[in-house]
Amino acid sequence: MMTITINDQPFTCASECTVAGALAQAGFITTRTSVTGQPRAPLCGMGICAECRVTIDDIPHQLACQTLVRAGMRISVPLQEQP
Amino acid sequence: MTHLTVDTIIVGAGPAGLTAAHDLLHAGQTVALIDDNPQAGGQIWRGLGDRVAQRAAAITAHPHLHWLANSHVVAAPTAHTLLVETPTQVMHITATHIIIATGARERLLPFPGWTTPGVMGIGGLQALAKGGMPIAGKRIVLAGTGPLIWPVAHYLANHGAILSAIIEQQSLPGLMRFGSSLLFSLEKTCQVLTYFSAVWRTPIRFASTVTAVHATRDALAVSVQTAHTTRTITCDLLGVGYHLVPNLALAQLLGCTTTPAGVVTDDTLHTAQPHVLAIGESRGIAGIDCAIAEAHLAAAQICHGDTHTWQRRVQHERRFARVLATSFPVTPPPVADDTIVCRCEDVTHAQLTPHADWRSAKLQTRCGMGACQGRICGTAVASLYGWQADSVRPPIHNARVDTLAHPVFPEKG
Repeated sequence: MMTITINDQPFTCASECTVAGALAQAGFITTRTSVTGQPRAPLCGMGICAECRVTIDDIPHQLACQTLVRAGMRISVPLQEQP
Repeated sequence: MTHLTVDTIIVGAGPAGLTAAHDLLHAGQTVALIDDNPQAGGQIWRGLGDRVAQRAAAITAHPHLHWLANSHVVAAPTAHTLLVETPTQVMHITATHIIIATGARERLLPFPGWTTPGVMGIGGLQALAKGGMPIAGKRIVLAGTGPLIWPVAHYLANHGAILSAIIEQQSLPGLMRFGSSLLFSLEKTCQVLTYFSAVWRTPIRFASTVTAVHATRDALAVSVQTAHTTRTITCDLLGVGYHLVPNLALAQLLGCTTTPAGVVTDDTLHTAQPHVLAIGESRGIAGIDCAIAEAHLAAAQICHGDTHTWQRRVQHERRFARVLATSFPVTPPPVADDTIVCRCEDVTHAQLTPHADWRSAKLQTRCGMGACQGRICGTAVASLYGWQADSVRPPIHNARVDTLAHPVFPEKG
């Protein structure tokens, strides 16, 4: 297990998972807001669709499904109602 | 910029790419193996436990292999050189041979509500679950058509998910014909029986389509149409996909001949470019056994090994491709005027229908010009409107500015 932060809140997640997996474990389904303001979430799971773009360690547009979590990683997702 | 010269470049570290790498390394070659995923194994071998991971690790750790994970081919500045972006550097990799093992992706088709969080591809759902997305105790509906539904249902059931329903566009007799056509292979027959053993208690609706989905307070409400009846199924996650499409951008960039079904090769897997070979799903959807046989054949071709045995094996396994190509005809689900077709730029069906081709739609609406570069909506507009992309131009993948500081087009003259 390792600790990461999501929107500045600490979360403990499994150590061998992707950022998309960690977000889902923490209950964050929505990963980005679309150009017309809709909530979006991972679709293809394999780096094709770019719906899982999140900000990781202040770098925007990182693919959550293609990035493995690291201890201390800081992830930002849109502040909105999660389903 | 780092320059690297190897005997063979393999693009794609799935079963085909890994197998080819294994054989070439065994024959004494130096190999560069490139994949955009953080781990080797492709979608099918990834996250399957320690034994598969150890086998993959034994290949990627080989001293004569340059293993480039999380890396993309951006361009091909010369016929034998690829411009590759890794997480930390930009590389020119030159090789005598290039093997395309880029695999396939799902055909994801628009329908009302498909952008709702919790709706994903069938393989997407499995990939995300392998990446750590919790599925135990989740109510899941799998829908669409194609060969992925059954193995993924098996995977989900074995990992504690509650399969609320399977919605298959194909009819029951159609699926039975598919099942019976697999009898040529004992292995595939056993696979089918295994898959069915996992889903025998799951409600399965044949000749049915998911026509809409919307989020309720704490679940997804999925509308399923069978003939003239529509019913609603409640679930937590919906996986929906319509068969697979080969990833062809690299082959097109390298000047290989392609059709929508795959890269065109001769019996020896050589493409229109004599130094480029194509193997696995990029040659046409045929499953893992065929991909592995083709990988052995490609390596034997390059190293002057025993091609005869593998050629016969490939011919045998390719029979599954013909079965797959005809068993799951895709009928796109109905779209509404306000259904988003291009998810990156939020372009709706109504905005696209006035256009005669994709080029016009791109220029006027930005359809296909967003972050996914048309890799999702390209298959959607092909299925909905019959539009095809004009051509492939570098960069074929989103790239950093420092990567694009290097020439991406072949030098003239």
